[in-house]
Amino acid sequence: MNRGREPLSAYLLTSPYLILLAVAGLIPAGYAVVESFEPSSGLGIVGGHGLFANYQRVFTDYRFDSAFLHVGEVLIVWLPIFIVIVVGLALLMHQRPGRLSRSVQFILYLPGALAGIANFVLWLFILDPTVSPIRFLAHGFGETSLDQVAQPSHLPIILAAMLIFLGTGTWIVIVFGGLNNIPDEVLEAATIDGASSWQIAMKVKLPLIRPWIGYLTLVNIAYGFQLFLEPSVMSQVTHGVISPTWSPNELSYTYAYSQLDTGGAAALSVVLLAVTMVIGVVVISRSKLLGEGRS
Amino acid sequence: MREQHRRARWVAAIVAATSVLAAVSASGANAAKPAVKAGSGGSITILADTTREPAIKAFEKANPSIKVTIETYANTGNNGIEQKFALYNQAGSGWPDVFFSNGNDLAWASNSKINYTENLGSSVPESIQKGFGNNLSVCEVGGKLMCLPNDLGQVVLWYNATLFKQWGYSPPKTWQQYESLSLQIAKDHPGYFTGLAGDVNAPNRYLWPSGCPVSTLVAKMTVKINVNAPSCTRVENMLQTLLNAKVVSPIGLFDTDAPTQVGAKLVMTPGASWYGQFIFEADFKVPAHQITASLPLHWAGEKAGTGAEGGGLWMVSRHATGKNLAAAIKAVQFLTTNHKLLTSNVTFPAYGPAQNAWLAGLGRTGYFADFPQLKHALKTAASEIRTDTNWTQYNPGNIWSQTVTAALSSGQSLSSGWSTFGTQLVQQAQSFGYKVQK
Repeated sequence: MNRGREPLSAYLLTSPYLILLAVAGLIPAGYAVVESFEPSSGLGIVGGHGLFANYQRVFTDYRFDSAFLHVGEVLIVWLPIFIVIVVGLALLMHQRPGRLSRSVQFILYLPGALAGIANFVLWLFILDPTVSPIRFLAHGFGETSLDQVAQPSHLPIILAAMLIFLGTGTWIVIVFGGLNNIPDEVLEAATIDGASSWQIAMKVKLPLIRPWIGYLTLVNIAYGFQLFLEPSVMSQVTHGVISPTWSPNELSYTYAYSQLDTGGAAALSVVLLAVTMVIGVVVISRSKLLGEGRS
Repeated sequence: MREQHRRARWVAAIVAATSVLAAVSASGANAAKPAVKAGSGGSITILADTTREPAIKAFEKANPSIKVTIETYANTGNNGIEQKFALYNQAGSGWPDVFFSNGNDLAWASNSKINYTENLGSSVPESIQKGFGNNLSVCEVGGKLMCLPNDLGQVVLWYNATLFKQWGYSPPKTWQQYESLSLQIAKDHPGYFTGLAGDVNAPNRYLWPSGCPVSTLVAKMTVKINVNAPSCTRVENMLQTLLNAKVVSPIGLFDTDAPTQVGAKLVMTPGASWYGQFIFEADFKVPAHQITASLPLHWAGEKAGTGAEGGGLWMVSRHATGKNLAAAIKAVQFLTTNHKLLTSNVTFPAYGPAQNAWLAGLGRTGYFADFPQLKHALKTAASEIRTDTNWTQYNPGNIWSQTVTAALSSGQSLSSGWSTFGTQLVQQAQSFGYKVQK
């Protein structure tokens, strides 16, 4: 092997990603950071002063706390259940490989393969008691209209259900990949030592796929904080019963395009970036996502 | 396979993460750049909802020398259209020469930041301006005429004449009579309804006629809001009583279950001029010769005054110049005053001289009961819309949905959403830069 050529090909292979990262990630993020410190003349209250005026205005906004609270509620309901389902099913399928396992995997993968918007439209039909195939559930709770089903206090559960439905299949494939990565010798050794299937799953496989679980957690937390499409669709179909500034990202959008306060919108985006980055660092270090994990 | 997935996920996550940032940064600078002239020779671009398309085509046909490009947005709503205008300002080009929308959009289109609208005060003849009467006030922003009104959503009292006759009732004249008749109906004919409270239009049909200040402009950027004023609390009390009696439904007019839950059981309701064809006939499928309307309700001892649900208007771009500007002004005049066109429109014309012809057309549909009374009600209500409720950049209807409708749909009382309605009105008004008075 020619040692000199390896770095070059590596650069070549990663260059499309790096260019995209710069154009769609680093440069706009940098611009947002700069913009968030520029004096902004939105239509709204000219709150705050000094370098952090935009931040001050955003932090004291009456919708700020509730937006983060909403996202927090969704994450608390959604993530634990989601991780248990994905990891549990992946372990189960890995335990009993074969045609059944593969077909189940394929069926679970289907919703994720549909385009996002098509999925939400499907969900709207599922949620609307006038047309839903599972309307007996809503009727059981005495709910006869979409506004009643999708009332604000139900939204965390509805979004959690949506996200689990959409994501499970795709993430099983990824975690399954992690499980396939475990050398057969390790599993054979465990069997010879007399470990039961349960013990192998919990004591051998689970620790070995920790980086994959970390990755699963990280990406989905990031997604949770960026919720935009789902709540804004819900806001439209409920004729505004769900607030159009339900999530931080939606609030940022409102700042930019209703209040024409780009400084405030940038400040809010930077806050989101900071929050997800801190969580990212914690998750990466805890799960040994970028190293060690493969040993 | 795994790595690919990983990469794809990362790229997707990063693209998603940064798209909002990118969008935000795209509208960075604030000041609008000098206008770039649209193509000369009297060609104009008109941005309107899909409902307006036939009218624009009619203008095009009547004026073959003017080249018209039509851009449409869905008539179910134009959320985010303000974003387009922010971006046009940023780019310094791209504005439509004529823009059809509603009062809420006029509020931002005419503000100092978007600053899109042309003052039509001197270019539209006095005689035509007079034809709009009272209703021209919708378009007056800071003493300038920033649009021409297209249609009116004046609120009248709709009722089912067949059932009223059968039950021996006559339509109420005051809100107090409306309340007592509603309670009577609740008692004698349970299961029937006399109104709905859970939609974005509810403040316009209940609060506006009462003079309840939720968006009363006292100066250009100063607004009066006080949901604890007697003119508000009397509506709150009335609606709460009627909701308790289950004769006013907590759901909304446009909810998907409204036709089945309320539908033909709606025996009476205050409602806009377009309820007859759009709600009773199209949505609720009430058979012909049953529905009519009487004069708008007023509060006993007070002078007549009503509200409006919707009402479109036409704005002209101040970025248009020369022949284009002339063509744009010609277009909005045609679209708002041409008799033949207005008669074929689906909505009640704001232009007075065209109203009789339009009403004659409505009569020819043969759908309504007691048409002379309906005609009189619509005509009278058209000149009685109160001017102390104004269209602002925040929409009280949306805030009503988030607070009052949200409370109702989760089984709580109207009153429990009422104070949040009040606080959020103030907070949202302030977030758009309005000074708030009590």
